[in-house]
Amino acid sequence: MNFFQSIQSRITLTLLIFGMLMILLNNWRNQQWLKDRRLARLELEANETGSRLAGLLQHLSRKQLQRAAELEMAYVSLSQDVELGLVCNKEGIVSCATQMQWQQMDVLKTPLADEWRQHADVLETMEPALHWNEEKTRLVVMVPFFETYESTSRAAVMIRYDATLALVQVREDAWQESLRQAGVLLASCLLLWFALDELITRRVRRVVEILRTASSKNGLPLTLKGNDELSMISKEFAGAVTKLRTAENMVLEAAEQERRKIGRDLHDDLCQRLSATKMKAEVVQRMIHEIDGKIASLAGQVAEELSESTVIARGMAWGLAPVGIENHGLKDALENVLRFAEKSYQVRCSLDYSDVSTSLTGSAQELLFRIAQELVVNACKHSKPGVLNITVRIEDENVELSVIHDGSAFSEPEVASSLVMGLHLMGQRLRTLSATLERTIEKGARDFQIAIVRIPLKNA
Amino acid sequence: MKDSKAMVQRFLPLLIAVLLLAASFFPYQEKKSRLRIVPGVWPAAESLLVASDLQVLPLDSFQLIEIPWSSAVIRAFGSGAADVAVVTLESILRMQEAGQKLKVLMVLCQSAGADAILAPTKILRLQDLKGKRVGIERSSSSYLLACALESAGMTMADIETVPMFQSEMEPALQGGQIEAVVAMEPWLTILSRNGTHCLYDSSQLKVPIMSLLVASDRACTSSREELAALLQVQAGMAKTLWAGKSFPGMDAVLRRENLTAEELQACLGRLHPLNNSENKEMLKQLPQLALQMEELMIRAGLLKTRPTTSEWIDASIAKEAFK
Repeated sequence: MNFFQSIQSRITLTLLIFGMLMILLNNWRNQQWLKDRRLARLELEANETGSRLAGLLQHLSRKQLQRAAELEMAYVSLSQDVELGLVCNKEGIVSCATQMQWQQMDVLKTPLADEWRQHADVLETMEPALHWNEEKTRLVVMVPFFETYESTSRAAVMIRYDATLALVQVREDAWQESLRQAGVLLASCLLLWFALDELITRRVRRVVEILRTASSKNGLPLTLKGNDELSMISKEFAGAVTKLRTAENMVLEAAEQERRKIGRDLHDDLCQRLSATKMKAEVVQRMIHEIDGKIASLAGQVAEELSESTVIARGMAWGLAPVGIENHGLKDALENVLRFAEKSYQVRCSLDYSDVSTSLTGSAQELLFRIAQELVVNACKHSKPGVLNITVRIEDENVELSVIHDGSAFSEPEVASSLVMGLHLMGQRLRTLSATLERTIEKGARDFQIAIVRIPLKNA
Repeated sequence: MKDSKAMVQRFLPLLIAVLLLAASFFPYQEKKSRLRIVPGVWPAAESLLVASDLQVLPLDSFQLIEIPWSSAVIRAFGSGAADVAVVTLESILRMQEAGQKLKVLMVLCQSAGADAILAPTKILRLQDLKGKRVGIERSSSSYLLACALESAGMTMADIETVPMFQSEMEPALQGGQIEAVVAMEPWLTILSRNGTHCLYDSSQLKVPIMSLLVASDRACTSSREELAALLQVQAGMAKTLWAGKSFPGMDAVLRRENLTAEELQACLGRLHPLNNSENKEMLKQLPQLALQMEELMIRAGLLKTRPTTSEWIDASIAKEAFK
């Protein structure tokens, strides 16, 4: 079966694809959530640092503690996200910076010139400003303070945060989590695949095997162990097959009985009457022989035709009930078949017969005969043998019937034909007898095809 | 064949179950954070600062933090806020005494007059410092002062040391709060502008003052590649800086160090950058030199105990960087 056609694979793949889609969706949601959280934290840090620094720098500049202010700015740059921090007075001169090279420079010559221009009104309003760029990758915080006790001595601390690396980290975190989830999903799907294989697929295959065996082989179908649904199906099926076989046997037995009855009636009634009529016709022929030669000749013809009709009727009776008529047993019936084969197909035939009449019932003998007849006729028709032998004996608790010939090997017919019907009926008979049929080839100078039918004595 | 297939079919689900558990409980791999470097703001570390200005050090792997005071640099490194620092051998001995674990990766340069005792012209000799107040940044300049005093037959007890930052020395000297200072570049050049003269400098030392690149144990284990890249960049930039010509980013250096171009060249001239082979040789000699410095510092009362460290030099990263 194609991998993608099995239910096991379809369930697993469906789950895998659905799971992967869910993971991707979750990844997208997770990235958004982590990004929002990270940016919110950065805003919080910017607000806190800006406010704290502004307060501290106001105090330090009023006390003229420039070095301490420098150190405070240096510690600001310990934050992973700080790109640049400047402290500028209202003239735009940088008094402190996280990068020393910008100290005492005009702010408009520093990398924060644009931000300074953009938020110049902070020194007017004395209200802090927090601003993201359009891409939301850079955050600028500007917090004003007074350098001295004069209300005109305005200055501001301005810090620019770069969130690029933080956002990369967010993406990597989300993907790492998704990869982990994908790993779990993949392993789960593989485990599911194995579980389905163990619990369902193998058992379904076993059920199919049982069904196939039941339709082609003898004996009762097996059942699956356990109490699951598949086991119930196999048990129900075995029960149905048993009933079917019983009914089949009954039909076969009824047909055989009817044949026997018709055969016996033909033999005991019609054949006797025909014989009697033939004898009467012969008497009439002798009586009128001297009076009228012509009529006597006609009576003689009637007697001959009656004789032929009797032979035909006996043949028909034998055909319908070959075993047991006129106390002729299985041996005679088999000899008749061999004679027929010799006569019709020019095959040299022989019979090795051990008496099995005490081991087989009458109907069993008839069934065995029918099987032998089918095997012989099939061999003669399809294998074209030169010699053919039938052996009947008791071997290892079995009644064994062997048909051996030197014709071509038997092959199962591919299209429906009379041969198929014959084989089907033979199969039914074998099942009724609980018998087995084995076909082998004995290799040698000449190959011999052997068909062996074994009927267990306990069932016979 | 059939047996092995059955065996695989039996053990594969078990293996997958183990994989499932491993995937479920796979530890969260936090992204390696950027290597945080505190070089300090002094000419010896300018090669790293210029590399950062010019973005030769990738921003996604390195974060350079400018902390102007050497004591603050040591604190940032000691607290774990930084992974790499540029410090003097004297600072390393003090850090080891404090129990800090570090690894010396490279000797950047050697002071050849870039550290000195400066005094107004009225103080002519070292002996004149007796009983005077001397401004000193304790974490990095005590050794020079102790050596100078010992050479003049004096001890630390003969003077009064005033702990201060380099940037505080100029106003303190001008204000008369101190009579002399132990200064290092670039403050040495800046102070020299105001008529001070040199009483003793680092070129006279038996064990030279060295600027060393140190890294935390954690960084040496987890960021070897970055550290090797850092050493390569530093070596490349040092060549540019000490080439005696103007170089890209020089403006930023002059602003940062508050020097003119001529002063910067003179300042760099008082520092001897070590090339690969010199560095390799110096790393071999370092334990012996540290021992000599240690003895003097203990004698001068600058160290109370002899640091007991085993492996504090890691030459393997430099070897990887310059193989």
